[in-house]
Amino acid sequence: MKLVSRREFFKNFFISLSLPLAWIWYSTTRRSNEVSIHTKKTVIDNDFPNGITFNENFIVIKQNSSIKIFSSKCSHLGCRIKGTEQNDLVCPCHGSRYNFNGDVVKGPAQNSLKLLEFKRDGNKLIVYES
Amino acid sequence: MFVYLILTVIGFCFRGENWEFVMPWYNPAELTPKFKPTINFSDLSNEELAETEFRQILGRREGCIACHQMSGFTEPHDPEKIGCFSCHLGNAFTLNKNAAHKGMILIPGNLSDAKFTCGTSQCHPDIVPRINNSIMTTMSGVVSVDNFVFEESTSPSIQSHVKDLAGTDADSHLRNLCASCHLGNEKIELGPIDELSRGGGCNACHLNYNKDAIEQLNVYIESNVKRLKAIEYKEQMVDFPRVHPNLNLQITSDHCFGCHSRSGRISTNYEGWFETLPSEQEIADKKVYRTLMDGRVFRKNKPDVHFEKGMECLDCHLAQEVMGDGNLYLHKEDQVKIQCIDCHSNQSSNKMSFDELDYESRKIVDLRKSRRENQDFLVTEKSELPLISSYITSSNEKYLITKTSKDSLPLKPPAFVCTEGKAHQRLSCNSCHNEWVSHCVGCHTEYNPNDDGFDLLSNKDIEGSWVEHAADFYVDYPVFGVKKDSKSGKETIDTFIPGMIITIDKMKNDKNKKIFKRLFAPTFSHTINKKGRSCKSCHNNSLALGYGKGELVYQVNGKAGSWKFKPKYENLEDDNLPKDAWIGFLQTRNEISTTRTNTRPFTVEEQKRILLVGACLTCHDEKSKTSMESLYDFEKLLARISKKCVLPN
Amino acid sequence: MNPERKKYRIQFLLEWFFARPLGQIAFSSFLIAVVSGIFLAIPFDIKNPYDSISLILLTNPGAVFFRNLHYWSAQVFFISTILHIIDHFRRKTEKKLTNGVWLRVTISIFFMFFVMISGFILKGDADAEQALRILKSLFEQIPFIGSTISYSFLGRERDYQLIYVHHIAIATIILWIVIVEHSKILWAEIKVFVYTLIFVAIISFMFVPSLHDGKSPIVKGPWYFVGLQEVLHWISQTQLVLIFIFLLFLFD
Repeated sequence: MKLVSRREFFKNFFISLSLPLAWIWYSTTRRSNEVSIHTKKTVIDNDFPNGITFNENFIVIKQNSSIKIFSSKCSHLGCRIKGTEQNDLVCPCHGSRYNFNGDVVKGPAQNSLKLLEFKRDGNKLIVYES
Repeated sequence: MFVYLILTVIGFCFRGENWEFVMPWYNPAELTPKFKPTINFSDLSNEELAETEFRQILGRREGCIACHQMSGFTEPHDPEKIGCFSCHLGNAFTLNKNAAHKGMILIPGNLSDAKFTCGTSQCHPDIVPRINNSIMTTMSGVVSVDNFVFEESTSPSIQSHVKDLAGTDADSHLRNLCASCHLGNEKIELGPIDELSRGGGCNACHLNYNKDAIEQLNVYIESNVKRLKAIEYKEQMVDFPRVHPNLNLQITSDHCFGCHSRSGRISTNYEGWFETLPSEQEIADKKVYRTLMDGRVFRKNKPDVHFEKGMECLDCHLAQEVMGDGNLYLHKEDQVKIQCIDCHSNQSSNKMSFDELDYESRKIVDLRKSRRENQDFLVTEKSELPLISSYITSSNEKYLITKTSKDSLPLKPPAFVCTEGKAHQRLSCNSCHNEWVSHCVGCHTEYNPNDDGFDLLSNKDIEGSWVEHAADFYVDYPVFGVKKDSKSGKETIDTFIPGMIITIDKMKNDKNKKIFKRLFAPTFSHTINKKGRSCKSCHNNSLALGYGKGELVYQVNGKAGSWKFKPKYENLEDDNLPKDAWIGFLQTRNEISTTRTNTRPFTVEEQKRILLVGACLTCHDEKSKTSMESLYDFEKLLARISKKCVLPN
Repeated sequence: MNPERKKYRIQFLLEWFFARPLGQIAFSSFLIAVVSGIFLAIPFDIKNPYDSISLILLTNPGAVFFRNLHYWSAQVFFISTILHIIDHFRRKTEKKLTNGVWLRVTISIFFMFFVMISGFILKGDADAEQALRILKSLFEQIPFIGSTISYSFLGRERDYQLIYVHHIAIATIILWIVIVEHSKILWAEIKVFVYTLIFVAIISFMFVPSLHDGKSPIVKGPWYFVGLQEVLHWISQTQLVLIFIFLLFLFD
């Protein structure tokens, strides 16, 4: 058996510890994250006017009887979209623009806005934000 | 590194709202400076402050409430909910008076700052761009027609904007006499909207002072004047008002009165006043006469039937019309969406339920608390806008709830005689139901370089002024002409008034130029009557046909009949037509004789047809069976006239 | 002027500029930031950061002074550290550090940025909220470990608690250890400290760092990231930017 100095031994020991530690760290955060994501649903009243309504986390676009709910997170870097300008949804951080179907019209964003699923429950809507 | 520094400078100084490129010295969204000095100690001592005084608004505290506790607001604008900063800006995070008031706007709502006060992204962002394009801001029709009359353009229908007025004759004419009646005109004085108010942005309509607010404002102004005159300046001498004016939807006709008592005189017509020439000193009977705040004298006449029923301007004119729908329009009648048939129709109308309403309409219904279960709203024919003050019951009865008095007025369909038969199909409702219009003839305008003038656009005194001399003002029935809808090609007979028969000379840029124009303008004079006109008042009336006032007589000589016309006024030299005429007797005009491209006087053929009926009416009574039958099928009636009838040749 | 003299002049100016004891200034301002931060923690309420800061601004002039001190000393720390790094590269003295210390110093640059941006986020106003969202998105785009890193550093949504803890812990513990380890001194030099304190105090007395009023439509990150925001405005592929930063780090 090769003789190793104490310093050498402890150095190797701590390096080998780092891998399981990293694994524990990863699984802890992932578990906490998952728990918070899967319970991510909001219940709101199904009472929207025709047109666009801004909520903190989503944008509701209603046209007579059809409702579409988009995530208010810009697909570029996640800023919250809370305004329109000349018939486009516009992001205040870098100026990305989307039309009312969630598709990118202009700007650094490339992907469309995420369309959220929802379920009608009586006179309420349950919006799934995952 | 260096590149990053440049990018940082660009990002910091040259980027504004939505990361758009702006110039750092002209960034309208940068309401207060980035770095605020600290050497501004609080003006209040610690004993006077209580943490509870500063309530949380928009997630943080505001300092304004420490000194300014005001009442008098409606719920949506309560400072407990939106604070003072949201409208008045300034610096919300300091208690030092000068620092707090830096960048503050005393009267928010003018269009120059509406985007950041009323129209900020959290409040009313969709409304401000609509107002900016509304014809009440652009004055497009006024500018365009004026340019046309001054022969500076070949068409009266060119998209224009009042802020583009420069120094040509037409432009200076408008700047002198007309250009204050647009919403972009700023309100810089405290006080309610009254007869002298012009413009004011959002405040022009929505600002309301109740009695307390006016009282306190007057006290404040008086005490301020005293303070200025005092030898020793004392802040304590000033009595600051504690009641804030209200911003609400109670938009009474008084708000419209200031601007709309000019030009077409719609506000005054509606209430039954027409402008006369005598000055205030000359009038004797004060009951019949009324003097406005600007000194003009009006005389009482019959008001509009809608006014008599208690309706105000906004009971008909919807928000989407008045504030605009974002589109630019050439003339005011293009922006107006409401029509008589939207309320008064005998056909089943389009309906809209509460759930189908857009955000703004819903909000207004909620605020007025006028929602009725299981009742729908009427919808306009043009642009399909909901009439939110209306409702249709399940038995298909239609009603209108007035804004101020909240009465439910039944909406009656038009009479049988209006809709049946072929004869009057081309007529607009107001052709018969118009009680009176004001005529103004013989206008003469010239420029006097030595007169003291005022530029209404930039609000400055100037040298030189355009001067108008009016000749005759009188009240009578309107003149008829034909209007063609550009999209459908459908022709309608509508009401017209002189607009204008005018001589312009001694112009500003050319003293020797003289312009004479004989133009008539389509008008909806807002003097609707219930009963309509008599047949003869159109068919046997020279004024109605466009010939001007005078004697129009049907002469029968044996078997031949002919119309003869003797005008009241003598002919003008410029075009050999009577002073108040539109067209010559049984003649027509080929050049543009109106202030629109889609309107015209009657053709000779049309005049003959009208006079043909007039000929019948000289013998047959209006209410006789024959006259009634003629409404249904005149041709058939003509085919079996008696031998006694003498038709014009 | 002949080119020889010009070169000499530039050299002289550079020497004069960099002859400041940049490391000492950085350390002094760091200490000022830490102490003022301790005082600022008293009125600051992590459950309502925006509200508590606005209340401080209105009712607590002493806390306002400490807030200004905290902010300006942090900016001085940031700038002088960057200059200090440039200075050492220029003089090629970075080789003096052993490998282990070198590694820790390099990683601490990332922690320094994180301390600055977490301080910005802790304001809780509109700028801060958007900055948090952008930072979260950027972290989550790191392959494999992105969401772990995002969750570990930034915490749950709408909960500033973890960021607050990291801001304090990283600042007072990790950064201090790294500073002490590579500079081999415990405290800054007294003379430099006093001058830095006077300078920062004067500026703090004069200027208040802005707090977003909740109404202005302009939302920008802190000044040192505004250049990055400008870059992100033009580039859609945010991963490119991440790779770029990562490479910068590697070459460091």
